[in-house]
Amino acid sequence: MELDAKTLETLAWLSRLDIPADEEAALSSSIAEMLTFFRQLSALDTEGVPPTAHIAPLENVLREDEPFSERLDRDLLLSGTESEDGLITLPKVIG
Amino acid sequence: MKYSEMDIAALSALLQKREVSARELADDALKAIAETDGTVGAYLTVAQDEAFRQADLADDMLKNGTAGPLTGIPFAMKDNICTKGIRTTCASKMLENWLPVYDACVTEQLKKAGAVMLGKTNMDEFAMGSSSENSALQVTHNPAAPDYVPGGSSGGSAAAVAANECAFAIGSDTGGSIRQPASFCGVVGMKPTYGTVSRYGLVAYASSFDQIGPLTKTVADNAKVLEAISCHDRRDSTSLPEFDTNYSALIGKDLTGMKIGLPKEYFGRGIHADVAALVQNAAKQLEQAGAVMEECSLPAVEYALPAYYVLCCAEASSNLARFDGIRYGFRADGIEDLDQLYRKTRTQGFGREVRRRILLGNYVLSAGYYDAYYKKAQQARTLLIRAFAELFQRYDMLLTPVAPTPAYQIGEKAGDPMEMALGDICTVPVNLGGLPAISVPCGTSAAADGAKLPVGFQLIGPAFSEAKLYQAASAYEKCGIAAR
Amino acid sequence: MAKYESVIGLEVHIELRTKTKIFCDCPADHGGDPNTRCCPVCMGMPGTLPVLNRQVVEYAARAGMMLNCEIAHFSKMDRKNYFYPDLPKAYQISQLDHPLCEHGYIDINVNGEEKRIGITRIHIEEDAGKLVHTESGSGADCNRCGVPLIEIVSEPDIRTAAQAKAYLERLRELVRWCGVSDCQMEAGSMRCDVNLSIRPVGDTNLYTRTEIKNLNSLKHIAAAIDAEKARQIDETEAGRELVQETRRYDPEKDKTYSMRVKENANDYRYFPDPDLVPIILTDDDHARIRAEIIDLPEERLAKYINDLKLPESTAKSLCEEPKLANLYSAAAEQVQQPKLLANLMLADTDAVNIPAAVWAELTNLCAANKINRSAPAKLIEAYRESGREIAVLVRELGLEQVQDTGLLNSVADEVIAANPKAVADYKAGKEAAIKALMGQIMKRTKGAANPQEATALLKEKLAKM
Repeated sequence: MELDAKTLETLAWLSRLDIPADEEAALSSSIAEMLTFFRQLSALDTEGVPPTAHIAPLENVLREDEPFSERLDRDLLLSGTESEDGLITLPKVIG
Repeated sequence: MKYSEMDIAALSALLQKREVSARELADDALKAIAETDGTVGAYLTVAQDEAFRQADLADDMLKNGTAGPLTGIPFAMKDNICTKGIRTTCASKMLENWLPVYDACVTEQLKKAGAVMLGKTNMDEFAMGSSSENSALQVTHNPAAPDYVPGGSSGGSAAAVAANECAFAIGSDTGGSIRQPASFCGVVGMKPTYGTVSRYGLVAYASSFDQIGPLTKTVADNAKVLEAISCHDRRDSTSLPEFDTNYSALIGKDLTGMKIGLPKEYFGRGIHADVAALVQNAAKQLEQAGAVMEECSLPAVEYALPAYYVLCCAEASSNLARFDGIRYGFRADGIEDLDQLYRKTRTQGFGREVRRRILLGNYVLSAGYYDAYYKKAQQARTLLIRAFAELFQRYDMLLTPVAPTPAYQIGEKAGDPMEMALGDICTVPVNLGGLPAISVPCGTSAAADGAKLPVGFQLIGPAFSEAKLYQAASAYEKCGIAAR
Repeated sequence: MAKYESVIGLEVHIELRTKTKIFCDCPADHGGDPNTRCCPVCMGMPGTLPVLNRQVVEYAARAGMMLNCEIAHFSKMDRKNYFYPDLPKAYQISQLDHPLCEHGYIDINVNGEEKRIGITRIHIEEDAGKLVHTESGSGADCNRCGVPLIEIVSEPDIRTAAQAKAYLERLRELVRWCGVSDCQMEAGSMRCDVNLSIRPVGDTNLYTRTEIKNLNSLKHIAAAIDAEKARQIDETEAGRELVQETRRYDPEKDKTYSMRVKENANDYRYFPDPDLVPIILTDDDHARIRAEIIDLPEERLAKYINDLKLPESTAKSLCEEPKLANLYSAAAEQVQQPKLLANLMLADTDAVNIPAAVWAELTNLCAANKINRSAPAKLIEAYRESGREIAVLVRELGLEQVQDTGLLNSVADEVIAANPKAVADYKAGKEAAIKALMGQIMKRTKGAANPQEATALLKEKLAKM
């Protein structure tokens, strides 16, 4: 199976990744290889088998609607974040 | 015997008797790192000041009688577990300088226990890999044979223990990332039941598989560390509410009447002859120790590997989407629009393998493919869980290899992700089932170049069977060492 | 125009009035300096995990019951994956295939015509943050990240702007009524997206639809619907193909404009959130939540008018604020004069913060003439300050009304004796003269005498003279 350029471009966009030219060939063939490998699953009879989304036997894990007393102050919260006047700075790109 | 070579039990005894202080141990351990880590490369960050600070607190605990089995014991933490104010990189350029503002639950637990963190260990970037070669920051060498990989993704943690650069280490296991490096480096590694150790503060790779666990020199040490880190945590919705954490309870009890299955699928094609022989030999010794060994079959494992990769790539593609260059971590230069901010940042910030798995994950989740891949894999997961459940009605646990081969040379498989993936065949079924499994050293395999490469076997039990796994593992440890 | 009708479905987002956010314990209310109401969890920092707020589930289910929905027994949270700077995790935790509520409806009435608008589903999800644009650039504020929302999706049953308006007004009334949100469009706690397509009248097929996003007032929604309908008709008449797309409405130009969202931008790659476990609601849970739901507003109104005999205007004022109505209903059970109770409560601007028992006690004291009509206001004020028992306050403030007719008798006699002129005037037929005598009585009793009783007594005595 081959991975056509259009599909790869769509995937790259959904992933917000660029595909460097020098990687494109290797990347698309290794992705194609993995997808072929994944397709082994189609041989498996899963008629009426429920999907497993959670492995822990848990339900209704809920917290009460109570505010927590101690809060991290903004300076600490934004340490390591580019910010101005308490706002997280974004490149001037949002229209 | 040097402090750095001693196990937790021995060090703890010395600390209790005041024959050594926690500060002296920390100092000794930091010296050991300074001496050997240049050739091993296990640590990404050595936190000397923090180590001495925690050592002094430990000495206070020892003085005022509040000390526990880990108080004053120096350890290493995998670098995908958050440590407040100490950089947590996930071995990625993306987080190279990220300082978490909070401690992971495991970090808190170990602080409470008075353990002394020496630093953060190298790994495959975001835990994606099996050789630690995917680290964007550093190469880690196998202490047993420098040209060989330590395994992965917790390669730094396993190497640090094997190289006596800490008394124990913490790793995380999504598809074998604790057990396989433990096997490659010749240490004991436990992947506990999903939900027994909080994931709060573990940077997520595949959330429904990730589980934190200990790497140690001995089985008894491993149980002690797990006792310290496992607990219910209300900040993790998948943390189990109630379970027995007395993991040492059965250590020393004999194995008479214990039934252990050997699933033949694990010993078939692709398994290195030495590995098969060493594991079979371990089986004999467990038999001598009183266990009943019996061959059995687990056909469902055939689909474990593709199911695992579909699901973990899918979860990873979503878990790693937050690294967008906006709030924390790496941000690319020369950005002209939002699309560029995202794409340049993520393309430059993530390594090849991480980007490959993100693309794969987005493929299996995208419109039109979900049912054929993601849902199908979830169903395969259900079938595997059922198959395990059946076997555990007949057997207390299963004995298998940890990896098809011993450690390979650095660079040998790096170019071939598929072959790398096939190396996870023995370990991923456990994660699909959320089961506990332990990797125990059982000898070495001689490589062509004369390197003596450690090999481990794996014991897999039903949920909450950790105490039993430790019982069998420690029984082997005793007679096994005698036989070797 | 007439030969086309529009087919309209509405997606309404409503903020739930919980104390904390949906997945962390940060305060959920509006306000606060930027990024002061968030934490590592709602900022999506690496390693953090969500834990679902119980109240969000209960409020959403309550709203669902109010809107005649079936409430799920099994529900779960899913991840909706997309990149935007106001979405820290780059996915929104929402619900895809197992929403909390389904198959509801709202009955509306547009100038006499009854219509039932179906509700497809109601699901819970987290709100995104806010982008602030200043001259120095753009910034992100995470205060709103993780505020709990319900999204209410209607069936494409709406045909006109008027129907859409009626649906939204009724929806707001019902959701406010069950106390889970204040639904203020201006404040952004209620938002609406419009899905609209057109078709020839009589045709039953569905054609290409467009979505108009971020409409923040009923006026704009109605206008946007008319503008988009007109545009689609023009396009169709001109033989141009309509494209399924997201559009925005510009009130200035009264036109809708394409937002040019990239192709496959809407491939959200939903999957079950592995960090959150299933939500199971038993029949008992359903019953418990249903028990918290009060009757419909008009049922309550009817009860007040017919059973409690309140004037319609009074009943309506009580029902404007669900809190007030519930308080009134609770207090009304303890009094003989519900009308008096209503007047006392409506006379107070902050009635909802006084316990029902206190309102009942005040009403009963007035009804029994133990205090006069001006006393309650003073007592409420004193109660707000001290929080002490009303009985105690009545005594301390000396507000008891004199009941002792013996005393009143002697005072009346004194007054009559001391005011021969007024008495003579009265006897001479000057009815008004009695007011002078009354004034004297009130003066001598320091206003503690009951005016009715005193007047009656005076008239009686004077008649005997």
